[in-house]
Amino acid sequence: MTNLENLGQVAECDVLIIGGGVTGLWCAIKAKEHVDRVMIVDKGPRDWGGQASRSGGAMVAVVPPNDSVEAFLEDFTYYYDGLCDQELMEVILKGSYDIIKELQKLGYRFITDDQGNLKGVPQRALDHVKCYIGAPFGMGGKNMVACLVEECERLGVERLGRIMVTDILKQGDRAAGAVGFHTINGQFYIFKARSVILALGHSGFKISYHHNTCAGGSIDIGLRAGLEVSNLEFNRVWIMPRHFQWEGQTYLLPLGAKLINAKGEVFMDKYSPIFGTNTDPHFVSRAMAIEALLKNGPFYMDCSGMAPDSVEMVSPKGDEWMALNYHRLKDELGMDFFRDRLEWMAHQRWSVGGVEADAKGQTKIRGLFASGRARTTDPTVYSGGFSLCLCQVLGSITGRCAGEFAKSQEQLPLDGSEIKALKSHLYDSVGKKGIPPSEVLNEVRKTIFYQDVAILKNESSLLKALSRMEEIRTEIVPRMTARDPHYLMKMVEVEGIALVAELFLRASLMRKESRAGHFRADYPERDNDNWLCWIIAYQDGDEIKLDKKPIPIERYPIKLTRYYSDNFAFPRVDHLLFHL
Amino acid sequence: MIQQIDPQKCTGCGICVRVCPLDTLRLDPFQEPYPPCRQRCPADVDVRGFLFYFKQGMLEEAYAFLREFLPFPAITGLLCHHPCEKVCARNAVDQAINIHGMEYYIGTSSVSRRFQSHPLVHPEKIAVIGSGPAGLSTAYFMRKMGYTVTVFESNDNFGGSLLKEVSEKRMPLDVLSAELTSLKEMGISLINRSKLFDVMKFDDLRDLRYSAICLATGFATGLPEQMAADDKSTISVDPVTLETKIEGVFACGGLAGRLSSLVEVIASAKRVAVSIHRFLRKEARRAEKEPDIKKVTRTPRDGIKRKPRLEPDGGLNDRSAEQEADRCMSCGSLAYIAHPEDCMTCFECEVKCPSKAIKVHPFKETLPMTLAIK
Repeated sequence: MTNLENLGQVAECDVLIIGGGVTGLWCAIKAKEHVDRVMIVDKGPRDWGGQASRSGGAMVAVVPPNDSVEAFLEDFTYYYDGLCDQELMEVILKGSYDIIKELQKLGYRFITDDQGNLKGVPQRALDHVKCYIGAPFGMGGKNMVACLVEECERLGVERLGRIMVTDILKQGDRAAGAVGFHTINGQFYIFKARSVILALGHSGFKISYHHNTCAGGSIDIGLRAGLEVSNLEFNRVWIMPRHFQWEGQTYLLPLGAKLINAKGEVFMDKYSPIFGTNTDPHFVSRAMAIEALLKNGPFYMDCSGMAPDSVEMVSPKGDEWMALNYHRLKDELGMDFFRDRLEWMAHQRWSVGGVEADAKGQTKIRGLFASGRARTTDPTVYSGGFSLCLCQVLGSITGRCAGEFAKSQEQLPLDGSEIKALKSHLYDSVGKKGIPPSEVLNEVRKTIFYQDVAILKNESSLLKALSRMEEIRTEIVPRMTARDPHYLMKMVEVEGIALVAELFLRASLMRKESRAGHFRADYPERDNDNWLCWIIAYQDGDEIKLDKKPIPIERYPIKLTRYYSDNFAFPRVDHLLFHL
Repeated sequence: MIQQIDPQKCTGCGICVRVCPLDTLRLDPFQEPYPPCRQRCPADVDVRGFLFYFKQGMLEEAYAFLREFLPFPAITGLLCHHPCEKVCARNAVDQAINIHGMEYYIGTSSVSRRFQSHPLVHPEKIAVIGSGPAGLSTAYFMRKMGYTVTVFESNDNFGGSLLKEVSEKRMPLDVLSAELTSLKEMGISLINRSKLFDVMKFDDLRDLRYSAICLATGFATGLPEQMAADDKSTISVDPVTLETKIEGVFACGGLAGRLSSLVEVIASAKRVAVSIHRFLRKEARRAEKEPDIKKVTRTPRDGIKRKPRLEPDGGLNDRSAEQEADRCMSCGSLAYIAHPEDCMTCFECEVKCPSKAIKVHPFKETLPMTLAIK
């Protein structure tokens, strides 16, 4: 038997958590209730807190006595056009208020009104769903992470940074650990664990700002470990300034900002007289794509109509990045966010696809759990603050279950020869001449970013893109090499991204209807008879197969009576797409 | 995207490198100006450099780098009085880095020592008389330069005055034994109960074909009368080359001058090694004047978060050593943009930089556009 110490650094723990965002931090805090040795490993800096550290810190929650789980669940089922795992959503919503209370105990502050009640903001013209605002306004995520990190420190959770996990180790149908490498010194790492939690977040395409870090790991690692993944046809398309980043657009529109086309029209009023622009960005980006085809682009955010006290309220302050960003744009580049019309753009950002697991996060491999955004909850329409809700609730539930599991089980032996093979495969392309990862990433983006693939999907464009993606998989990805451990990390990321991009195209082709965030210009209608189901993907030999998985609507408390997408009327544009 | 790091303002604290979520930045600690710790060290130890490797998780490299300067880091980690800590810039923030603790931790770690093999590159053999810190250090530096070295010790055990440190419980015997083993593994021959010392006749060594001799006995008793200095406890040497009145015979350590500390003894051994090398290579016999050392003028201080110095009983462990090394502000290093294409314009480096050296441009990278605007 191969001596593991000769292969790399060996670390042993009871519960291994892959990913140090809020999900991972909550997993650790709760796992600690059951076992001693809990370890978080993250490819970013130790304790940076993942994407939540750059979020506003606001979260969706069911806060008594005014909110109710049933009302929220009804809202979400409607919002998701029926594509809602009601059992999972119920668990998430039920756990949300406990998280608020625990966060407050850990020192995190939510903004309250004069009576001391939590300040809830209604979302996306939904009747009940509310998001509760963290302090300071728009920048609370950092504080939230700090509170959770401090608690992990107090509990003695071990945290390792700059280590990228690449594979899960199994013995039979049970998880036994993981392997990875240090992204700066290249050292190979072998983790022995009784249970392992995937908490790596969603699969992004690495476009600027805080969604640049998650890169297909959950899906790539999950599929290779033998798990099923779903919701791959749904990609998050967000609208944002074309040249720079602005956090907190949710609050601009209700305060009088207008998203207009080149003619100065508030174009959303045409497509949804009821909601206008105050809706989910996927419907707005769909309208933008159609307007662009009608030659009504580009688009601008016009804040000049906002009242001075509103501008004051949402103006970035303090010494954090938003203030630096705002003042540098204004003073050095002459771009005054609140005075000038600045160009906005729709961007494909990430896949909402994720790993299949039960409500506790247990996957079909015993001892392997998935949590937070490594899972999938929505058909990409998104209610602000929902990520922080689901990550924290699922993180705490999964952490507890993984801890209990680890307590009741022995550590399985690891297979030295398997690890040796994984290691030599991993380092195979380091230091060799080949195509750099960033070039491959750009090819992937070029293939899936354009509007006829990303927004106004149609068979002909999707097929063209798919054939290019297959070429990328067979001809380009295998020729990718890494100069050093830093680029090895980028390379592993791009392998995941290319996989997710191809599955996005295949699943989008498969779903021949339009629902929630998925819009087929050639199948613009919803088709409940054939498509009230999820599309799951799984590894079968060398192939990845796609299958339908029906929604057990007869088992669910909320029956389908209304659909959010019925509030919009988009004209047929497939004839215009051929001229692109 | 990140635009620039102003080298005039950067103090090298390394915070930006640590906080960048995309691992875009790197630190170059190998700058000419000396940080305060190195300025003060008689043995010229590049503390900034070995802690830099350690912080990157490169334990082997940290050990190898430390041994560029020190023959037996575990011993100096315990016994050196560490003047470097008194001048550490971190004193102005909270407390000095536990440099001796780090040295001991790295020196006793079970790191693979394969990099210690130093090929012979010179034909000459060197004899070192005495196996105390001066003799062992001289042997170490000469062996590292590629000479064949033999150490002669008159006693049963090697270590000279280091054995006193063991008997007085300032150092475990294990530590001394391990360092002796590592010197032997380098290829240094150690001969004990050597009678050569008693009947010191330098012609004898010449008969054995040693090309140079270094006396490192610590005291002058038993040495030929003509070598003695006025006070009889030391011998008379050239102040620059440390050569005695007999050509090819050198001296270092306490024998060559009154030295008050272990690290000065090591410095003197290094100096004699360079001097013997020049003698054998027929290079200018007189060592050149020490070059003027450039010094780091601005050390990090403002905006550095306070973190207590870790100095646990029983020494640092894996975890605390990592934390302690992380406290080093790597004074005078320069941060640079190693992977600009990976920047995600998050401003984190600029926000966290205590010396306002970093500027991020608000514009993000150019992406393939999702909307085709005609």
